[in-house]
Amino acid sequence: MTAAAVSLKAGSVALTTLSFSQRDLTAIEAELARKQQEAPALFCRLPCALDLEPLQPGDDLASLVELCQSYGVLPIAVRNAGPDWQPQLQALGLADLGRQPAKTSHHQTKARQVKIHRGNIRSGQQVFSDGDLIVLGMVSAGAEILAAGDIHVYGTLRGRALAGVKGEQNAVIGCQQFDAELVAIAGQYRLFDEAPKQAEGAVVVTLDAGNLNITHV
Amino acid sequence: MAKVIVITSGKGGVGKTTTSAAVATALALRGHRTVVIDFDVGLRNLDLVMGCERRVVYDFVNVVQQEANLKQALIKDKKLDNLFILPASQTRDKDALTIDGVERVLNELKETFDYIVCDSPAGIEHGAHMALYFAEEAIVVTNPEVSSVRDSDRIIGILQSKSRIAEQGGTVKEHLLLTRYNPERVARGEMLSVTDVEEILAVPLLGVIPESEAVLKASNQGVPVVHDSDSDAGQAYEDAVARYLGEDRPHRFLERQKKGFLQRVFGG
Ligand SMILES: Nc1ncnc2c1ncn2[C@@H]1O[C@H](COP(=O)(O)OP(=O)(O)OP(=O)(O)O)[C@@H](O)[C@H]1O
Ligand SMILES: [Mg+2]
Repeated sequence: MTAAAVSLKAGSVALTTLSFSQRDLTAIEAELARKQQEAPALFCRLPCALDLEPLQPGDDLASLVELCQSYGVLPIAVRNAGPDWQPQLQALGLADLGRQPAKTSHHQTKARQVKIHRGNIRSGQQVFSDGDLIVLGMVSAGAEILAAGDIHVYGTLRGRALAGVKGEQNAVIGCQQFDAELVAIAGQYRLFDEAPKQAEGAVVVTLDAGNLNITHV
Repeated sequence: MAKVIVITSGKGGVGKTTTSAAVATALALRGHRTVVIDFDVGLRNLDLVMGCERRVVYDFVNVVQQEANLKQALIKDKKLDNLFILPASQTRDKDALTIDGVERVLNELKETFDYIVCDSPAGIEHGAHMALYFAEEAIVVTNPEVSSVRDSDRIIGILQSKSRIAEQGGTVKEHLLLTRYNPERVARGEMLSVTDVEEILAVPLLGVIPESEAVLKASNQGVPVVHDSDSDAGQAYEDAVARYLGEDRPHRFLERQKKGFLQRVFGG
């Protein structure tokens, strides 16, 4: 038996969509830089689709792709591109995903991946999960954990926790003891610069209508 | 089976060298063949605390660089026949230590010794990395204050990700040694308590060494403080090493004690 030189396997991967509110490259660059600062681990060869809706076919797609790449984002496809875009797409080797709403929450149809970190995460360490993140241990002050999905810490959370870093508004953060420096969900963050008085107990953080809710359980 | 123990902290001046000298001496007093290595290249402190500074001819860097052999560089302790010191060089910089060179020296020492105690320099740079890279166990020296605890946490993270054992998927055994503990200041809320530190670091507590004039006196005389068996710090170090070797000893010196004359004079 010889294996075929090429074989196709069907599969689906979650793909982040990058949408733009304006056409100005300088403004886009500034925003990319800010987002990269927020979550450096995320911007590490992150494959994504560009939503071309607000752009016009005359716009320079090559420069936009190059700009994205320089911030660690790898455009591999586009959404919402009309026929006028086709020559540029061909030239840049980008796939066309057709007209799709950007906000299809993929996790509703498909189980998210879960990363389980066994042990403590110490000051200066950073752990990232493309899906959910479960920490079996504590997260020290000065440590940072990030997840595209939910974060659960079975121990004390003293560092920074950022859930839904790819825009998932329904992401949650849960921990057994809460003493965090910062929590964020889908970019909405809250700093705790004053240490709370002792043992805060278990806490769940959610995002409701743009507000971070911290619920003691 | 030789055991490599690193004495580390991240933060400077918390008592690593004092601890290295005390732990090595206590191990030797209990009959173990022990060598203590000064990794603080460029500063050289251990030989002073061990009282052998006038007998340094060749040093650790010379041996790593194969300019001298171990026999020439090892200094026998003034009191104990089974205790040796490998001093650091004062004239070289930390980059003179290489992974391969350090490994070669440690392997050679393992043939003769039961315990190899490595006194790490402060910081998280090259020198500290060299000192912890081959460690099987670590004594993390911490003072009861926020910045020291934070640095200890950081160094534990490095220990469990950048040491050779960690690179091979294992864990370096951690021990917490809280030094310069001053129960009065803890009671006044000026310092963290043992419980606070244990909770933040989540590392098993090996011992608590009180802030003590005996340490300063011992360093000045070049006699490790465990030889001063009447002193609180000497006893605390001896307890810690007994616990390290598996004995069950209750922790002492955690509570305020009656002020002695010296404490009243110097303010304890
Ligand atoms: N338990 C103690 N009580 C009082 N003084 C102490 C105690 N432990 C250490 N010291 C003093 O603190 C100072 C620093 O100690 P030591 O040199 O052991 O720290 P180190 O961590 O090795 O410093 P470095 O980071 O510079 O290498 C010394 O003057 C020492 O005598
Ligand atoms: Mg020192």
